Amino acid sequence: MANTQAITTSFKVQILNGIHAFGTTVVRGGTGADAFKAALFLASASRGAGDTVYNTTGEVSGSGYSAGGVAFTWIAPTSSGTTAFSSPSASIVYTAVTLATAFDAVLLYNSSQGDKAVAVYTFGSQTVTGGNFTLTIPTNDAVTGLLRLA
Amino acid sequence: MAKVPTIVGEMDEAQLIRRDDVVDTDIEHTTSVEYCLTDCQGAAHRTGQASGTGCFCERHVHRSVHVTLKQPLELGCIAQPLT
Repeated sequence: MANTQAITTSFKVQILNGIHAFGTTVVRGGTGADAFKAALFLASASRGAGDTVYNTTGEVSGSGYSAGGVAFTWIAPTSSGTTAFSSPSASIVYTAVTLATAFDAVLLYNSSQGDKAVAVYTFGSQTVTGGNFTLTIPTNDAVTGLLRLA
Repeated sequence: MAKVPTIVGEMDEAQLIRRDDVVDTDIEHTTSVEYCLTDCQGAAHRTGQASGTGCFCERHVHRSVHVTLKQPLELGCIAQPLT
C-alpha cells in the first residue's frame, strides 16, 4: 500500500454542502439547503463565468415569466468514484409563457445567499409562445450530473 | 379532441396546423411543437420555408420547447504536488 496525493472525494461532497470555509463566510440561518432559482437570458446577453450574482440585465421578459425565474432544489450531493455531483431534483419548467425574443441560457443562482451565481448553461436559441419551456435534467451521476467536482 | 393553449385562447387541435421539430446535438436534445391557425398567413406557410427566427412560422399561435441538457459542467479539483 502506498500513499496517494489527492483531494478527498468526501471534501468535494462537503464543498457542495457548505461544510468548509477557507475564508470569510456567511452566518447561515440553519442547517437546511439553500433556496435556488433558475433565470432565463436572451441570446444577446453576456452571461458566463464572470457572473457573480443574478441581475436582470439581459433577462427574458414576457407574459407568464416573472423576473428571477423559477425555484428549484438540488439532489443531495453525493459521489461516485472520485467525482462529487449534484443536479436539480426535477425538470425546471416555465409554464404558460410567451418569450418572443430569442433566449439561449439559464443562470442557476442561490436566492438564499444574495442571489450568488452558481452556473450558466446554454442551449440552442429558442422562443416560446403561449406554452411551456422545459429544461430536463440529465441523469444525476458522475458522468452526466449537472454540476460535478472531479 | 385535444385542447391547445394559444395566444388567442384555448383551441381544438383540429383547428390548428401542428409542426414538431427535434434538434439533437452534443449539447442538447431539444423537441419543440408549434401550432399555426389552419388559415395561417405566415411566410412559412406561403413559401414552405422556415422563418429562421428559431421557430417555423412567425405567425404561430403556440410554441412549446423541451430542452434536455447534455453538457454538464465539471469543476476540476487539483492537489498540487509539493515541491
